[in-house]
Amino acid sequence: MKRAVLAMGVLGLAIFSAVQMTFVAPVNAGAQQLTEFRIAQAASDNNKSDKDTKASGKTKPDAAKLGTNHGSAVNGGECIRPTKEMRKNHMDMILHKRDETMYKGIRTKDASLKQCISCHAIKGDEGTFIKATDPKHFCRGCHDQVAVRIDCFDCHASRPEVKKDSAHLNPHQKRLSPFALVQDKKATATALNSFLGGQANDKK
Amino acid sequence: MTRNNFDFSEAGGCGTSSCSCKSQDTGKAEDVTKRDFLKGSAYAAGGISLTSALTLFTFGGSPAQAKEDETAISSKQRWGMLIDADKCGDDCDTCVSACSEENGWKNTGNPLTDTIWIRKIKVKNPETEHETTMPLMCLHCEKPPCVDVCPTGASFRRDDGIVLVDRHICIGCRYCMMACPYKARSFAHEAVEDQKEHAPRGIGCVESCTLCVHKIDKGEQPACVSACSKSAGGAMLFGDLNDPESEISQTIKKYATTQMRADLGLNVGVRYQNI
Ligand code: HEC
Ligand code: HEC
Ligand code: HEC
Repeated sequence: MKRAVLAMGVLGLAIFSAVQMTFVAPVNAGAQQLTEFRIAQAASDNNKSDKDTKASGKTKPDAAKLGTNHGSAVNGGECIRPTKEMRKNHMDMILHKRDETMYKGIRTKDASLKQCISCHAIKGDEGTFIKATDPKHFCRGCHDQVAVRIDCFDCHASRPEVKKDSAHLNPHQKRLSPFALVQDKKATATALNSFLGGQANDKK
Repeated sequence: MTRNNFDFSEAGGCGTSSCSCKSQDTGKAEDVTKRDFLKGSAYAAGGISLTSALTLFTFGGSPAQAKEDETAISSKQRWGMLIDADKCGDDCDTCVSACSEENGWKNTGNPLTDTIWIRKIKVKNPETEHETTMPLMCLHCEKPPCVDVCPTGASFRRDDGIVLVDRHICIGCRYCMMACPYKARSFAHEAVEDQKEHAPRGIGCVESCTLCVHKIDKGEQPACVSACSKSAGGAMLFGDLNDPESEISQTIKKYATTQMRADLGLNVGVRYQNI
């Protein structure tokens, strides 16, 4: 099977479908095969224009092991699902989440794109988080190789926002409504009534 | 849609030389004839002056009730806004800059292609020369023409009354921009960088005021409303039109308010007072 996949990989156009096959393969070994396939593919890749991807794969052994770009740059913690599941299903998860958010207003962290980006953030040479325009971006590790092109980052931020207050980076911290302090509706209403009509004091 | 009585072609900056609008800058008011503006609206003359009373209203405003994170929105709510033109400062653009800051849009300086989520307009009664300024944004109609004309279903109305563009399926045809009688939508002509993470936006899609849906879902108020009550006249009141107890429902029950172009029967969610 592995050999067959490799053979196909040589044919530029067939690469994508080969990977897809390994992706949809229900066996757990599928993901492992994909990884090995990818390394082999990178090694046999004669296309010099793809220097960056190759370079990152070579200088970061961890990244090479996974065949992706995250290396040690992941901001701590584990992925939201087991890695194998993520490899196969991440697109369905985020697209599902997208519709839940758009139409139903459900904004839980789980599988939101914001969440992926906040954790899968990679620091570049300047020490700042890189954007998706950089081939070393986490989401491009595989996509570039298998010629998947996503347009998400035309609109979505592809790196965590740099803000003065870093509260937003902590997903556990609920932001306080500035209006939490002026919740005493009854008192306000009474004051208002007395102001407007002068007859509301007796309602106290 | 008939738009002839309410021509906003000069508002928002058309950039043509025959155009008499004052400025394309954010926050600079534009001239719209008051008579045109009000034509067909349920305008009640002799607005009650509420100058200080409304301060109380706005500060005690009824913010969105924080819903449970996992629960879907429902049509039990209908979010709306009431804008008191009397309290809106002539040269004030606090709401506009708050919106731009919150949602990460900027004017490009090119009036033909500018991003406009919210803008200040100035209406003038040609007889009395009385001028009124107020912000204008998506009015979140109950029967939104933009939704009617959208060929992909990208333009839609959330169950809680917020009219949005699902930019994942928007193909950028701009029918909705033509259909909107308030000229509330604009098209992202240029690539955008460094977006806010809570407000994705990018080239090729139509966009407009989202009523800060990301904040409402968390139980907060739209950015313009908070900013106006914090550092400007407190002219904007946000709340649930379906809840008879909410401040906004109480206020529209008590005082004459205006639905812009009420003749179109769109039943807008953003209403005005004292115009
Ligand atoms: C044209 C702009 C645009 C593009 C392109 C785009 N989105 Fe979005 N996306 C938005 C907007 C606008 C929202 C709504 C944000 C809100 O309501 O807070 C959104 C919300 C989301 C959400 C829910 C919020 C979150 O952070 O989890 C997800 C998930 C999402 N998009 C996924 C995607 C994916 C995946 C792609 C690429 C296939 C994509 N989007 C491409 C504009 C875009
Ligand atoms: C809290 C941090 C965190 C978050 C949030 C997170 N991930 Fe991960 N993710 C990881 C880690 C750590 C790994 C590597 C796991 C390993 O080495 O086995 C990983 C692995 C992956 C992989 C497999 C990479 C490979 O090398 O095969 C994919 C794909 C992935 N994540 C996608 C996502 C997506 C999509 C989201 C958002 C829905 C997301 N992740 C959210 C931490 C995170
Ligand atoms: C382990 C490798 C890998 C990583 C890492 C990865 N992807 Fe993917 N992704 C793929 C593959 C392969 C496909 C194509 C699957 C298919 O077409 O069946 C894909 C498809 C997608 C799609 C669907 C595209 C479409 O047009 O249908 C989206 C959306 C997506 N990925 C988002 C992301 C995001 C966001 C990240 C970063 C958080 C990411 N992916 C990281 C391998 C990866």
